[in-house]
Amino acid sequence: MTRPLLDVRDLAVTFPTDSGPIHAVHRMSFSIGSGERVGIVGESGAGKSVAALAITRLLAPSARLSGQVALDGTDLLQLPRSQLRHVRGERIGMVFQDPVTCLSPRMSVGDQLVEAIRAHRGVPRRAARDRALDLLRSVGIPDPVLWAKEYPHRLSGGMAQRVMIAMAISCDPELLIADEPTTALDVTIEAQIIDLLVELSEERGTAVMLITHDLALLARFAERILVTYAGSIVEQGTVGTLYGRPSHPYTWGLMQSVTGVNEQRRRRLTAIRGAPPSARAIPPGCAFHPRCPYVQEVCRREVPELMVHGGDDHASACHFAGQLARPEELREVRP
Amino acid sequence: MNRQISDGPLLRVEQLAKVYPVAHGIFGRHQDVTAVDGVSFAIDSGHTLGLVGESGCGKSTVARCLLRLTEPSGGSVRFFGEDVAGFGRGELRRYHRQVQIVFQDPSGTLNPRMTVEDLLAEPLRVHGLVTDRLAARRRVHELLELVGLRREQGARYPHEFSGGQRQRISIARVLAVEPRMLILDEPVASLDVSIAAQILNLLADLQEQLGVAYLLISHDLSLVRHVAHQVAVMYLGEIMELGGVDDIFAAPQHPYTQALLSAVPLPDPTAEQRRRRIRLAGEPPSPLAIPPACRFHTRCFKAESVCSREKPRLQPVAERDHCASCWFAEPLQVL
Repeated sequence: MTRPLLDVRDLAVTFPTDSGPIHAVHRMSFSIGSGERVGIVGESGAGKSVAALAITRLLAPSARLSGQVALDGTDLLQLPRSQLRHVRGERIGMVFQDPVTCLSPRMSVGDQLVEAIRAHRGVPRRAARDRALDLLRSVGIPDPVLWAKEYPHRLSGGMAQRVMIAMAISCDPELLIADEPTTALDVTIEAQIIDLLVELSEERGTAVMLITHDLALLARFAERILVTYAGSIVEQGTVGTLYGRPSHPYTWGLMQSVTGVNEQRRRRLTAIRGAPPSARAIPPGCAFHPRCPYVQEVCRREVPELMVHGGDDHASACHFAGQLARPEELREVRP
Repeated sequence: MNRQISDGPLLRVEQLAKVYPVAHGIFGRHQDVTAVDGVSFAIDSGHTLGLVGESGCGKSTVARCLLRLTEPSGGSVRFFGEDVAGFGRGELRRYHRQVQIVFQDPSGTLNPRMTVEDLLAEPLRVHGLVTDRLAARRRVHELLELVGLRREQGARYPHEFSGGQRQRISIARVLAVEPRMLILDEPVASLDVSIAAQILNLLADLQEQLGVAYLLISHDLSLVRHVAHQVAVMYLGEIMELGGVDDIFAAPQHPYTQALLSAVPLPDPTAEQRRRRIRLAGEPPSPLAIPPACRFHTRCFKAESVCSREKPRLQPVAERDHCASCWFAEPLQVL
């Protein structure tokens, strides 16, 4: 088996605070293959964004990290700070939810791109400028020569996100991490950005890790999906397996909470009772047990491991994975 | 309380318009922004009208005009047949008791220094609905239970609650005055999916129990399909299509509705691969430069020369009350 591009083993992130530690990420393990599109889905506080920031070492110095984050065999968590700039931007590109705050308001879009390119690659200004225009064109900005002269505040949300993506791929990274890149955008623009990310991964062979709270978005985007809850991965599988044969009760709950636009009106939603736990007080045993309709004694005591229990590396962190009957309404989903 | 007036809807809006004058530059050259133009619809008791559209389409301005939080520039709003524009101070106050609004962010509407009990008792007192403290308390307890909170929780302050619970509190607060209609402006947009499902179920239960009408304003088409009976699709201040929820979603007639629906991700990878996507060119034009004739013609995939010359009217296109504003209206299944 070939080595994955990114291999995360037992990643844990804790923030010490005066009122006790906050366990934002607990022992997360997953890998992303070269050119693979992986979606990470979870509700707020699930630890998905913190995990992404930990991978790129962008967390505050007070954060305690443990585990391994191997990028092509190099453990990023052990890398000296001085080496990190050769990883961020060069090997891992990043895109966040609010693009306008990530761009400098005082520089034109083109100048910012040129600066980013020259910071990582010692190319002459003219070559960098040509490359900037190419990048703008490749992310679907019409008339790049004109737009390169504009300042960020003149861009719409969708355009600004395209510029951010251009910047993130300016050094041909092997991995692009996109954290809720379309959450602030309208649905038609969201579709354009998701199409663009798929296109980039297919044409350039860039692996993309898309973090989102919107499971439906991943049906369009991802090849593999990781479902996170309270700082851990509770289920992972290929997009077909996860939609066709989901096995974790939380994933079921998540799917039943979503209203599909192609479903008939007025289906009463089967909501998950209660609310996700705070990272300060994660329930003992299985973190989902207080909300789980199938809870047993063992769930309150023992933390379930993420175990492979089906084909295609389908894994689920539930003591009863593969033994529970899927709810009626999810059984109709085609594999 | 369930006073039914058989002839005519609860609320009827006709040719509603709102124009904002904007000054440009230091010399204050005046220009007009047409936020809402010729909007007409009606809402029946116990029914839900979903008002959908992308950001800047004028859907929130419609809500503000309905409540006279901003004075409409033209058209009429009739409540039980009476013109809201003619209401004096006292009548407006009674009207505001009957038509209440729930916003996206509940924290912004709840005074952090008041306990939940005080927050719920305040509207009762202001509108003179209770005579003594005991009666107020009894009613507050009733309201808390109505929205699925416990009596004891009344002694707490808003910050002690989660986002979903705060939204329950703000719903209890507007229900305190026994309104006939609620304007729900993105009521679950800031909530996690599992919590949003709980709030949607609550809203459905309340409508069934109390017969209250909803005007649901949302950019989320999946949500609108699940909740609404009637749907109005807005683009740049105008209604493009209006009709029963099943007609709109199963056989949309207007190219804009079709494009919008085809952009919404489906929570099903197989359906997602099979479906036809309509890609719109570019982004919505600025409300400062609204295209002449049909406003959508600059981005429309069906546009012909007539579309930039003559303005189509919103007219019946199929059976029942299905209307579209397009020269080439034709049903197309996109989901």
